[in-house]
Amino acid sequence: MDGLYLYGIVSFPPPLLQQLRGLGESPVFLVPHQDLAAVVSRSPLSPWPVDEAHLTLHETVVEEVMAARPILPIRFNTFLRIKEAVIALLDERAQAFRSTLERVEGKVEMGLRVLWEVPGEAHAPVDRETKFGGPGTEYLSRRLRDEERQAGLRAAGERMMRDVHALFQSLAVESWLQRLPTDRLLFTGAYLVERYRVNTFREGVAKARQEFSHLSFLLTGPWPPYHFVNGAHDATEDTLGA
Amino acid sequence: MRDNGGPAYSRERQITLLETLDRLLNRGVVVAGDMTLSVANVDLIYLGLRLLVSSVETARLLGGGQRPPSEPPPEEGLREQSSRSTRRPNNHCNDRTSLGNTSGTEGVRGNGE
Repeated sequence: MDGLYLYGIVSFPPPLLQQLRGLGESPVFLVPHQDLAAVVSRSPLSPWPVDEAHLTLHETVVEEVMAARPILPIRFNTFLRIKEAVIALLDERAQAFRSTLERVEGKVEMGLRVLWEVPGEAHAPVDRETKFGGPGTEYLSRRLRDEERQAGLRAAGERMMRDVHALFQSLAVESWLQRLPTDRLLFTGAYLVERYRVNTFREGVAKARQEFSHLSFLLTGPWPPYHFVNGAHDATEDTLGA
Repeated sequence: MRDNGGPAYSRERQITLLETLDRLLNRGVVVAGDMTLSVANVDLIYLGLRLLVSSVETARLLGGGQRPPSEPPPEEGLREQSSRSTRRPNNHCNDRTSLGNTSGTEGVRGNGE
């Protein structure tokens, strides 16, 4: 049974200029409703495999559309059975879609991952108490040490993160931050950057590489604004306390 | 984001794939559709981050961490990376081929909305 696979939400008109092929080689078209439209293609109602080929197809459709106008990218493997359901979606969330499209217009997302040297790993304290206690004491003191280490790590990380993040925040319109996703990854950031400032942002990263030579920076993009399209759901994870 | 025709397992391509994976599965507009796919996101992304970290670390070992992702690492870097990967338990995500296998962990649920 066939349905519709969704790639993104755009303002309507204008119509799609390109002849795009989406997942399963199906032609991509618009389902319009008032001043909005969904970018879709016909598709069997079964999930596409999560592999490079299929992810790339989805991403390519979004990027091709984005080259001409703002688009709100939709999550991979999202289907609606019929056109009427797409229209209902556009109708129900029209206000949010409109305001988000305005917010991201003329902007792209830059992705940044910053790796740091985890402090204190080399000199973990030698445990002297455990020989006086049983296995329970040992367990508890190990737990305590782990917690202390985690707290110290977070405090040190937060200071550094604030300094580094501030550099990039000033080059972006909005930013999203996830701190210490793993111990070694200081933070993952997504930055909504005006197209004309993408090079300035890149230069900012180059400067940061010099200023913070003990950190490693991985910059990717420009991307469609994946981190900035769900309103409250986009909230920075574990926000900076300051 | 686009395939620039580099070597099949170039570092840049691998990082791009992981960044794409992270965005397409975890971000973007969420639609409560007729059918929503649920993937073992947490596990996938955790593995993805581990991979990414190990590739950034490899770059740092080889070039002081200054290498932009657009420059492919020397062969040693790739070997280092894959040997790290294979030491990880439950590893099923260390290359493109096995990444495809993760579709086996997908579950489909209809949410009737």
